[in-house]
Amino acid sequence: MFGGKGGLGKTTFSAATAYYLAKQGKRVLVFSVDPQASLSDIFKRDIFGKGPTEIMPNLYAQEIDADRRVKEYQQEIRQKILDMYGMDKIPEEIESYIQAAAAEPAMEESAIFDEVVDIVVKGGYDYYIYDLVPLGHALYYLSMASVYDEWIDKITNLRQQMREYDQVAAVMRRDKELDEDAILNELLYIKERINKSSGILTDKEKTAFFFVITAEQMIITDTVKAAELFAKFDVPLSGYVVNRVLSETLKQQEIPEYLKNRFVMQEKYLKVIDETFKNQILAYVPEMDRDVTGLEMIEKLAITMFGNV
Amino acid sequence: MNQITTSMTQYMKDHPGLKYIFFGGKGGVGKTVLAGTAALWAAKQGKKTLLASTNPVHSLSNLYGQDVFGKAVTVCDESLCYAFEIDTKDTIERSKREIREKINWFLKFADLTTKADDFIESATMNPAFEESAMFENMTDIMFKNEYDFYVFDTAPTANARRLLGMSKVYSLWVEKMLKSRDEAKTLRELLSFSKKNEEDPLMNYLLGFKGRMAKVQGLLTDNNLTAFFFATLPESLPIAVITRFINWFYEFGIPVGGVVVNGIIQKDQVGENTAEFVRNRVKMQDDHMQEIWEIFGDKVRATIPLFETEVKGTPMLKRMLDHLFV
Repeated sequence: MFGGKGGLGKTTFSAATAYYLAKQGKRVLVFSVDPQASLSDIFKRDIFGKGPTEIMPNLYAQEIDADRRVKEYQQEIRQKILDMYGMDKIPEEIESYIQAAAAEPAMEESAIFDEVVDIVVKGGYDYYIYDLVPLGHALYYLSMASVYDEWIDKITNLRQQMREYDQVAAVMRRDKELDEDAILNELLYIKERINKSSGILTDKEKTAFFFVITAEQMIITDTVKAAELFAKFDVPLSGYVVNRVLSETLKQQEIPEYLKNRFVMQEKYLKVIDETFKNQILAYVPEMDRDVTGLEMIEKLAITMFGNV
Repeated sequence: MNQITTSMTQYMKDHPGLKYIFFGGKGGVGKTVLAGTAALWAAKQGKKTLLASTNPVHSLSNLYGQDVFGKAVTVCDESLCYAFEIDTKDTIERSKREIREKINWFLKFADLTTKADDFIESATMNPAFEESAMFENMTDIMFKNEYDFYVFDTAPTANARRLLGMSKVYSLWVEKMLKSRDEAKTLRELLSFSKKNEEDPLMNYLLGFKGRMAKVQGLLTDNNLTAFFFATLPESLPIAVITRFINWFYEFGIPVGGVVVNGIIQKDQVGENTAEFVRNRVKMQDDHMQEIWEIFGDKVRATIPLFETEVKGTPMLKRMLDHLFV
């Protein structure tokens, strides 16, 4: 997993890492839930909402379309109702309920989460590269596993407590039986899946998390803060990659004012980075003179990150 | 086409009643700086202006070199220009308190002995809660109506889109709640020995909430009041991102004010002897500018040069003014 603030190069690094591993003969899936992540743009292929797409031998990429997933849920529910009651059409009242449920703010959230759990639990790849959303939100997703777990625990307990009341209500509504057990079972199923995926996320043997940073004061400050929070959630932090480092040889050439200033800033903050992260820095990646899009540029980046591929 | 037809200044002139503007785009394109510049401009027009950050990772204090966290503070030596970083912790605590009161009331109303605390905690731990709280806070700021002009520095665009789209989503949800609430009330009246009609505060709350949502949705989709601006760099990924988002915004019926291109390397700084690295970048930039004109055409409102240093502090924001509002 690569994390960090927006615009630092998380997606590019994810793509380059996937490229490198695929070239080593590993079966790799690089995936993202962030509509801003632009895997489509980097690979120059429209993969949004299309499931795992083969980019080259061993390399698969996937961008999750949460809206579509929500729509699929709704369809699933409709189908269940139709099958169960042998109807040919969903009654209007139930349809409006289905619409409203899909509109709940948490729905998109859980759709995304569900899809990620699906991907991780399903297996089939040697490596998974999860291109995360920017800092604040990356944390949020990672913490979600533990939050969801606790949340479901609470709800499960509550449901058991409420059973008594529900039975009274059911008698009043003249329902024949309670569908309570079905709901409880569903909750327990979700809980099991979450435990499994959060287990994977925090497994130091299987999971590595890298922060992308650049030589800027704000980025460094924010990253230190974020790293502390990640530690709280037991996410295995494996190191930092410094991106957009200007090559020293440029300094001897004729360059515009803005670049000269960037060199001054870079020198100052590279020192800070060195002192702050010390031996946890895994690579310095140079600023490229072209956009990193298309396999050719990705290969170039992979070589600077990992050596010959 | 490769020139601005309606500039930022012209757009403002054409929309004299504009009151709420937003800046969105990929991370690292300068949203905060542009928002700061727009707030300064509005203040200079004699409008009491608030720049509010709804981003969970705030950067306004850093922009101004001044602490604006959790309080509205005047910035840029302008008595009319205020900046404010929303403190989510406060909002969340407040929302929790409100929910607690509502739920406690409901449990009493329904003669339930279940302890409310567990339920409240589970409701507020819901991952979407922070986002909802942030939206509530934005709505509050808008309804208080203490300023003439509002600039919102939003979180990355996906989030902003959801934040705004949420008003639509909420109305649907509340509709559903109201309905089941109505059913519960009827049930209770049936059971009740006394037939007197009880005041139902929860119902009142839901109705009030529904009204709020309809109101904010009205404001956010009003072309004369609201405009959403997209910021990009002359680079392929930020362009791709806003191309995608601009369409989503149209779908939501949120008025798109236009596109601002930030960080353009100035040609007069690049000569024949300039390092190849820089010349390559400029060549790439030309291609991307071409692309920008083709995709956004007359939606481009300003093109802003890459400054030689980071834009931070009042003097730099003042310099930005002349470029954003040509």
